[in-house]
Amino acid sequence: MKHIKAVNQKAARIEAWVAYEAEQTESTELDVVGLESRPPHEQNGPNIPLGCSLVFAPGWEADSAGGTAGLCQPVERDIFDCHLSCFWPAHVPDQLNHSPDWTSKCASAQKDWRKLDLIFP
Amino acid sequence: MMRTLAKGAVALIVAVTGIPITVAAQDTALWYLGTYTRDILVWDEASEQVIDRIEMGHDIPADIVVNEAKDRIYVRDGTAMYMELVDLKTNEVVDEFTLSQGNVTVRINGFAPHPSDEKAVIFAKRYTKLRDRYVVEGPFLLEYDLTNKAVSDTIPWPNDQERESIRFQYSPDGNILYIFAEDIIALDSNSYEEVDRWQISTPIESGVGRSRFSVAPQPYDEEGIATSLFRMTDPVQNRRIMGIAKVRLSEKEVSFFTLGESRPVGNFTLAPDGNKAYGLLEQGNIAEYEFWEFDLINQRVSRRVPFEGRPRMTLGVSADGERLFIYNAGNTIDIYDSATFEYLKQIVFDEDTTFEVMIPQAGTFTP
Repeated sequence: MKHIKAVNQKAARIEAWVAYEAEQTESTELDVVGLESRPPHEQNGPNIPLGCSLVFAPGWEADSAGGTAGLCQPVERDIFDCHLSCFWPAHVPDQLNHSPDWTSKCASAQKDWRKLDLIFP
Repeated sequence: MMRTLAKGAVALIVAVTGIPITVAAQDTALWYLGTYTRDILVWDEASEQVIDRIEMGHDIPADIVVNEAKDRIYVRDGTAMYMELVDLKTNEVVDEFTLSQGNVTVRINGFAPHPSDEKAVIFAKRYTKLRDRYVVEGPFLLEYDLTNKAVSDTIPWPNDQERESIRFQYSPDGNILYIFAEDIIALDSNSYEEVDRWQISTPIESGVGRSRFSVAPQPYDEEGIATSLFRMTDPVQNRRIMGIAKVRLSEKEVSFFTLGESRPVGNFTLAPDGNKAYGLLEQGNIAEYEFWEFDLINQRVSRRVPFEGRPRMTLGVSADGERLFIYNAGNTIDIYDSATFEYLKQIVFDEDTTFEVMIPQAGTFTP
């Protein structure tokens, strides 16, 4: 018998997760969830995996809060820092191993971005 | 009232005057700005012109460390594999070293030169590329002989706890190596045996929670003193409050006064005359930015002025104290009048910048 009822969205999500985990514990076959799909216990919500390299959320299109106010202004300011400090490594060439001179023909991203090389794997 | 905390967890509280300790105002300062090319720009603050450029041997000068004598800089490249030494009298690269060789890559993630410039401490990781995998070892704290270009010692981890990130610096006389872990640990710089410890991981006064303050002196701090914003818990109302602290690391002393409720203010920057300091209130997601001016004589926030900031900002103050610089990320420095906080102009470089150090051209300076 349930004695507690979820009264807000977060509590409802926790309740759904607990129910799902209990169901999985009883099941002998575990499911594999794709990163692009929603979690099975939460069919109407987004699935946002942790880890910057797992999330396709280009830094110059959306900030960590999902908006644009936290982005560099203009957004080109961020591109080279992502290249060097590797915050969104999937979206700019890898500076440490494969493309150390990616910025050599384009000293300033805001002024000369057309000179940036395209990198093909 | 300004308060002083000293000598570890047991606090000594005394009333002192609010007279700031200052160095003489400077006429100008030179900025050394790393860029996403091979060059370091030398920018003169007074003329607001790039007066020289230093061509490095490797791409993207990404980190710059100034030596104790302020006559050379150590520059780490973008791959973190090479350290180059630049003589600031000639603005030329005079030496370089690397710990990488063949299939072994050693990335240098931290560097502190001894005041003698004969040795340095290096924080590094080693990556060995084998036929089927990489072997990652470390991180290590190493003593590096800058004269013979060889690793001369391995420094034991404090408490035998390996760390993925750590800060360290030598004392000005070179006798002590400070390790900034959960506590500040003083090691003999030759034997690397612990000679002292400042237990800042525990509250320095009962009820105030863990206090966080900087021990890194600013360009216009008096030698041996670091002025910074700090935060602590108000033991009466159980809330976080902020204030300004002056830390003398060699004596394990903190003098501070409180300002009020903690707000998201950072980029605390001491003015050359030592009477004022500036900070930036930053709430980037709602684009709320303010200049804060701190009156260190009367120990209060003297002005708060909203301005059109940007999400990534660093604040600097000119050597004459008349201009404020907003920079970081990109190829520009925005200049504001420190008296009125009015926007004056924008300096535009041809290159995006990575990292910068600023060296006043007279008096004392500790990066």
